[in-house]
Amino acid sequence: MTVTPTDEQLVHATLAGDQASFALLVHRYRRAALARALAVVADDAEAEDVAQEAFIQAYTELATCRDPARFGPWLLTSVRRRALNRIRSIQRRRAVALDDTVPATAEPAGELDRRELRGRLHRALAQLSLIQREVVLLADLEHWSHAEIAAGLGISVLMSRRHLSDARRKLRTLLDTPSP
Amino acid sequence: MTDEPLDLTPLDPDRDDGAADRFVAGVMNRIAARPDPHPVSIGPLWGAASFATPIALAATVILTIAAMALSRRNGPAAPETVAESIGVPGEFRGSLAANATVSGGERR
Repeated sequence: MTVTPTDEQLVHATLAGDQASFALLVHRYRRAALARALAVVADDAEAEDVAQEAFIQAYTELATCRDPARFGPWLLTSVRRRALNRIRSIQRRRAVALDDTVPATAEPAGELDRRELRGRLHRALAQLSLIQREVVLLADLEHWSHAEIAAGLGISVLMSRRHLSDARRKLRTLLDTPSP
Repeated sequence: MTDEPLDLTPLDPDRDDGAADRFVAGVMNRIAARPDPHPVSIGPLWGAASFATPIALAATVILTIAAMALSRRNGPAAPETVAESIGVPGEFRGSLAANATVSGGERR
């Protein structure tokens, strides 16, 4: 029988110098970190970079994690903070390089469709509040329970339910509307 | 029904094969490129071994010198004659000395 190590065990093992334990933590929280970053930056590549940086910072500052059993929420708080900083930095970059044009790249038709679909979803998600985006991504992309979302985002289960319900209703309306 | 889950699979980070492994490897490579803030712990007595050898050597030398000094001070006195040094019993040593004197006298 394989026993899955707890977050607390993995944190302690990492602090004792076992990097493989931290790789397990990265594997465990990768999707949640990406979802939370994506909810803020609304761009796959930026979200991946933010999530990676948050993991690296978590590794460097792991000794400051006061409750190793709550590594997940601790990490996700860092992801959110980094993602918000990234958004500000992107907005500054865009303001400076307003006239820059992105050269078009040739893509297969299927990939173009998927990219268009992702674009529509991102545009619709952008109409939600940040907390609604975070909740709907963790619920409908990561399949987290309301208890997990509440613990991960530091909100109550009741608020998690309310945000998810509002987010789904808004998204359905936005996605049913034909894109211009 | 508005509370049915939405299909967000186009946003799935694992839509590409190997995305998970690439992500984990990316993080771990970036960590490996930095100075390690969590070096391998080797217990509270780490370093004691490096001190133990010179201390043990010094103690051995000091004890050996002390033992030699003590044995010189407390040990039996050095033999005064060749007969004593080769272990001739005391009762014979006197007669040996007398004979030597007599024969020496004869030679003269």
